[in-house]
Amino acid sequence: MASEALRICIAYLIVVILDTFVLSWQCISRPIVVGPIAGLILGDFKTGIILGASLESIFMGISAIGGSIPSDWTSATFITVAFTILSGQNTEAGLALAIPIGTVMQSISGLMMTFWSSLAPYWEKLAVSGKMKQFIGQSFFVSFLMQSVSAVVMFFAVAYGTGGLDALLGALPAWVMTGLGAASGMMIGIGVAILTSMIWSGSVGVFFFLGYVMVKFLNLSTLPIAIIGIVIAVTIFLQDKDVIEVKNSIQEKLGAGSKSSDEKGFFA
Amino acid sequence: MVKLLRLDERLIHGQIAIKWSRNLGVNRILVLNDEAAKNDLIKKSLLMAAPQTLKVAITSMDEGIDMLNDPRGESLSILVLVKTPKDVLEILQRVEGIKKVNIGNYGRVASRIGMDPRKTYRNNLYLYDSEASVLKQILETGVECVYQTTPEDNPESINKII
Repeated sequence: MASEALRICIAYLIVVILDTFVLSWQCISRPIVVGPIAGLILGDFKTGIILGASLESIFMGISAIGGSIPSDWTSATFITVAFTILSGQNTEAGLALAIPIGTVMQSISGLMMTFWSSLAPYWEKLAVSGKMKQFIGQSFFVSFLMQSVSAVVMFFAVAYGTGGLDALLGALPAWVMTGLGAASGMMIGIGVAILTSMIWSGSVGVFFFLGYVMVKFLNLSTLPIAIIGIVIAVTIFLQDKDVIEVKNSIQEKLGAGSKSSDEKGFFA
Repeated sequence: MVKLLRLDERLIHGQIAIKWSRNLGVNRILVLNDEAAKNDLIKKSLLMAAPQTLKVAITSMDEGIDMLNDPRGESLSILVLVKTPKDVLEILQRVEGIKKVNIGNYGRVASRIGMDPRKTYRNNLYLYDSEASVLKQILETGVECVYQTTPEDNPESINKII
């Protein structure tokens, strides 16, 4: 287990550091990317993809907006995929574990964040002194250190926790496992509902009913629905693009005040 | 009608676009900030952050105050955003009929006087003594003034904080 756990840890560190410092925010740290990566590392790509996609639907509506500190989806995905593959449990059991794992991991990074924030006066002094190289080097180093704490916890969880968890799940009666499976199915629903409540509007809301009809009455599976969705999205995008171009060209012809913040339109 | 006057040093961002604008059910957002009104880059970024469903104007203090005093605004539901306590006070002095002031985020990114740090009042409220006294002046106008970062947070009266 230890070597698998080590590989998972290193992958986690690479993902987190690439995501925060090299790429942009949440480029590769989402479950849908991390799940397959973890699966590939542990030699079960398929389970990784399935878990990654399911976890993405759970965590899709969860994002760190403003001061909120939601569950840590990146480490949750790594640990969930590792647990599921290494213990040979079914994916439902793994999914049910993801939320508590994410919450625990988040409380660890929350602790580290407190420590990190206390260093602020030091960084400010360093920034004022104008020592650029020192500033960049040290902030990289400290961030790396912070992430390593989560990685170490993850290592122990995967290396020594899998056996215990496997035994625990094995000892549970069948009805508990059935319940866990049902709960994990509901969690995907809740994840999508959280997302929907944020983006809901009349013009988007109608698609919710279209989706319902396609699943419930036309009995379509996910892939054809996704393709229909893409077709609708592309059509709307192209049409919107035309409309915006027309709008812009009209405004250009009208001359000044070509911005939508235009004060004249405010009372209209 | 001004539904809420909010002090938020980030002006339009996620908390405004997702939470406040929906919670208040406003149909207009008016940002009063001299720097943003002059700077096209700031203006465009703020517009990008704004929800698509309502109209947004970004104006200088003077222009914005004229707009707030425009009788046509009566039938609208407006969320007013400013960046500093001083601007809040100025609006209250020059515009009538504002009933609610919300202190959202202030003092974390606002420029500092030298190297002196601001005093911490709450998680998202940091003030110099001079700024705290501006808030006191705001309270003296008799307006209802609460500290509340997002609609889910418990509102706290400013006179208890300062």
